[in-house]
Amino acid sequence: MSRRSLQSVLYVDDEPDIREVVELSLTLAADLKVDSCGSGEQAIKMLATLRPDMVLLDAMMPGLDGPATLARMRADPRLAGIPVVFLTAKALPAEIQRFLALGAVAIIPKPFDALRLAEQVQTIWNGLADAG
Amino acid sequence: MRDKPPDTAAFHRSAELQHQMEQIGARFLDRVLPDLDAMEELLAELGAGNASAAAALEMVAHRIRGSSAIFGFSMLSEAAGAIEALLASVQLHGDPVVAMPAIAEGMAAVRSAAQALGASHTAR
Repeated sequence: MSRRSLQSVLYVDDEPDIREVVELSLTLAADLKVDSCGSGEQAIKMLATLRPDMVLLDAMMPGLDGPATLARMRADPRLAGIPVVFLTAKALPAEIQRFLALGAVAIIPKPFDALRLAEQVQTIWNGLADAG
Repeated sequence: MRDKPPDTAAFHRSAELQHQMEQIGARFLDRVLPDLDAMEELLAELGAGNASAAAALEMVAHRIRGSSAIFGFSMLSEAAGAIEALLASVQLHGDPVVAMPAIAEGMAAVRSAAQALGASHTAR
């Protein structure tokens, strides 16, 4: 299967500074279109119209947290096919296994290297294309 | 054989990102002390019997740990991480109220690390 190039991402994190870093990193280094929001509830609303190629999701957030947001997405046929990557400081082996079991395609542990984040995201996207 | 020419566009993007990261990091530091004030209030709530304050405290500590590590503030991240780990542990296996002195001590360490970083940024 040949998947088109990665163009747009929605980043969900309750920490505004980290949202800014991720937006900068992905736009400067990879010229991606990056939207962001601070909660799972907002993400579900935005996804109804945005339809990004990929969602980057923090795990620990007030209200609808990362796993609950992913579960909502997987339960909605319109959103179920969007790949979700957790960008999280909750990256112990058991936590990673849990996120993958929930349907995440990959986990990028925090702290991440802002200079390398775009490359990591692109590698994950290319892996999805290779996996077909 | 000629050396590969340097990727000047990539270099400029990287320099721009680093410059912006420093500015965002400074703004993050400005917010840590108010976050600690909020943690003090949550700790008082915990002492007054509001058990849900422990989870809220853990959330703030988690946020400080993760963000400060991204900006390279390792001492601050470690100090906040110690509070997060303590709170996660006592919520599972103990009584958060009993751990209040240790939580307060951890918050003092976070405040000290944040103030030291704030001072060094101001001095630049």
